[in-house]
Amino acid sequence: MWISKPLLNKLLICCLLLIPLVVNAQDEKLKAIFVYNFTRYFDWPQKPGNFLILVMGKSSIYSELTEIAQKKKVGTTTIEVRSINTLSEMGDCHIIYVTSSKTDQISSLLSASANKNLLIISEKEGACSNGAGINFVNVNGKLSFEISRSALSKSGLIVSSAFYGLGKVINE
Amino acid sequence: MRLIKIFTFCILLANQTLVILSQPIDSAKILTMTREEILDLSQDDLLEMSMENLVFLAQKMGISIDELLNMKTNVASRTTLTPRETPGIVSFITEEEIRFSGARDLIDILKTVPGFDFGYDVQGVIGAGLRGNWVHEGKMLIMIDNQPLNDLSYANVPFGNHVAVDQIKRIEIIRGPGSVIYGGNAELGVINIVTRKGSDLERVEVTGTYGSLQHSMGRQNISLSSGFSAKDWEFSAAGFIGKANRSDQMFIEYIDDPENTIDLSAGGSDIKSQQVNLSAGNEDLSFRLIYDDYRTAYNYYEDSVTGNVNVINQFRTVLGEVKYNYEFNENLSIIPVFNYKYSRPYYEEDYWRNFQINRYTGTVLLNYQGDKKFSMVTGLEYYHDQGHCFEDSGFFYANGTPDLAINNISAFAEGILKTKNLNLIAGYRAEYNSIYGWSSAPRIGLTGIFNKFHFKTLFSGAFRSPGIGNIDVADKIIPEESWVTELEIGYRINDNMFLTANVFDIFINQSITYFDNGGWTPGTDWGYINADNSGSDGFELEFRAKYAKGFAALNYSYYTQALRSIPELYSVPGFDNHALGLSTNKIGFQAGFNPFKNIWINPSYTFLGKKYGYCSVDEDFNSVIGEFGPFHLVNLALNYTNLFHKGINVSLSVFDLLNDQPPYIQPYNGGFFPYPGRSRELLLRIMLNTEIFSN
Repeated sequence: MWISKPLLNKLLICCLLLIPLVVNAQDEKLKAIFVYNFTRYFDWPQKPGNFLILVMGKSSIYSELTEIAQKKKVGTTTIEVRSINTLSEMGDCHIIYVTSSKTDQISSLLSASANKNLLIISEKEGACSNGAGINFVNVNGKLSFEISRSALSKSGLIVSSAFYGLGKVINE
Repeated sequence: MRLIKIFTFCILLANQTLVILSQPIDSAKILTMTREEILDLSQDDLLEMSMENLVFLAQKMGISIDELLNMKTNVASRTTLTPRETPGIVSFITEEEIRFSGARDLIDILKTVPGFDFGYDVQGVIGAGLRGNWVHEGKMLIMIDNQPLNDLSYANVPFGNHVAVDQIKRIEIIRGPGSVIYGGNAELGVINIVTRKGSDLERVEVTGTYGSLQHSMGRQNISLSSGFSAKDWEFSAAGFIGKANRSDQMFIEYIDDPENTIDLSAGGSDIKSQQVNLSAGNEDLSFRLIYDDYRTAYNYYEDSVTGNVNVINQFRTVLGEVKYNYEFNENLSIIPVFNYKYSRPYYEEDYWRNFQINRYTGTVLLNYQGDKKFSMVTGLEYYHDQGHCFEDSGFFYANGTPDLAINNISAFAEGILKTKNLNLIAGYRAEYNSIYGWSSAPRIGLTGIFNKFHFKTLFSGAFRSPGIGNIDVADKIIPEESWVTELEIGYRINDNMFLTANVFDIFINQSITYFDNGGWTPGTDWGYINADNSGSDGFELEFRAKYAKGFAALNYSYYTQALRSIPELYSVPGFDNHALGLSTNKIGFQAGFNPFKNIWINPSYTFLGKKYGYCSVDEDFNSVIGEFGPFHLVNLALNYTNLFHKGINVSLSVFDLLNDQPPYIQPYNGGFFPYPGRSRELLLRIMLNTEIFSN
């Protein structure tokens, strides 16, 4: 026998366990491009410094957004991307991307960001009802996003009406 | 303990696959772009796109189950319908599934389809079983590009490294009768292997395959496909040369002679295949020519030399077709078809009674596709079989001369009435044969689609025509008749997942059966007769999922013969559920996922429940039955497309990871020990095409 059966089984299982991580990393590429594109539909208030995007929780979308930030600007403003783990690290940002593991922090985030004209983007089913303005969802294997009209209204951000035609609008 | 480990492994495998499949997509697609072009899009390209385009792309990129469900087929009715509508229990296997699975041959592909199993016949030939019936004996029609491959003597098709899998575009399978449309070999199943057309290729492609078993070479194949289109014409040419070993294990040939063992790793189980497939055609006129030469080696004990003699058993087939589609108007067309078939099965050098059969077939089809509500296909078909013993002293037992001719004429019609949700199908075939007289096959079915649900209720008559080889050694023989009832329900879970379940009842009236009472007179002491009734009952469940990043198919199939009285030749004494040599329980699983742009990983698993087969004799030389299995076949294929350069595709696969080596058991009491299975096989396949020369 050219390889022992137990070793072969273990190797196979290890390989298979690694695959979802790789697939996830690739998914984040498209989400990052969407996040950048979202910026075009908002009238952003003047804030000092760069256009700041925070990624709350660990996700490869951080590196994807960082790569985009090196190539693109929002208007004439340089994009800066930071990764944070807790609300205490949050500064005066424009967008906060809440990864699925941090979805339960959205309600605290809303209290902390009142009147700060902050766009909250999440990626977990039902997150719009928690207060996220935009939420990425997987509908039958296809990437889509929900837009919460009420959450965006509460954020104080001015949104282009064309934006509502691009995703699934909820909380009408 | 081992079973628990294997199941844990499989559950992990299935879970991982479904986890992967349920992940959101990462790229996009627009209508005018191919999948390859989309996958080539860089982040910069995507960043330049408008939001509307991105949304469109994201929605388009999700590959849905529609890709399978909207695949048009006419295999079950000659009227183009989707699989949910078509009047048959059908399976489709796509080029992607075949190629990325690393499948070595049709056996690997069909093992993942519900109901299929394989057994050993004689003279080194492996044949198919379907739904608990040994369909190798002329009960299943197997076609390449609609050309019937079954030999004209016993209507057999030997399996194992026979067809070049890299040339296949898709396989359409009816797991039920097709006699109304296809006649006397489509009694319990139809397989149509569709190869790539000129427009599918538009290039030259060479594929080399090398497989290594534990104790011997597994296979060495070389295959060439080329095709192109010019104006409205398409041309294709494909060739295949293969050499394989059927097994590398010890083989006890006769159950009454266990001391005579043969080490197949040293040779004696070779398979040699040669195939050429040429086609040219436009929408109206088409030509096809297929040459197929398949040789399988076997051993038998020769008293005169007190040792084993290795013999080559050869099947040679030539198939030709000219077809013209004349359209009277947009609704009505008349299609004259001429077919030629040359068949020289079971040819052995120095055998005194080798024979060949030439078949000339003329068919005229009238195809009416009136409107969306009604369509009808009617046809008249005539064929002439000319059998000839070409050895000097050879003759047919049936008439004592070197020639035997058969004339056959048939008429058939099938209509489909469509309403918004329901399709009513009714068809009938009547056939007259100059040797055995009349046969007929009616069919009626109702299929319906209600949003996510569909159903099919089918009641089919079918028959199996005796071949020249059967007629030759029969005192009197008539076609066996089958009555098959099938019910299917399907549920489309979402855009990506689909579930079907069916139950079936197969009743075979006066099945054509081999007999041997020990005497020497052909037709009287040995040969074929219409024996007892037989059949099976069972159910099949199938789940399929298809996403941009992968696909998965899981099925379970079960049959029992307990509800039918089975001829003793095929039965397992004391185990009424079982047919000899064929597992009652079967699980098939196949998945493929695409974690990186150029890499596909495809695991597959087949569970074959316990089998029974004759394997020894008692003190009185009565055959004694033995239990084999269950068997777990785990395979894994890794595919890399465009390795180093566009046009270089490499596949590395391992088959039978657990080295279970399921044997091929003879599905009737024929005195042969089960043919030993293959050991674990490591396979390398390299596919090169002329895109190598592009920039």
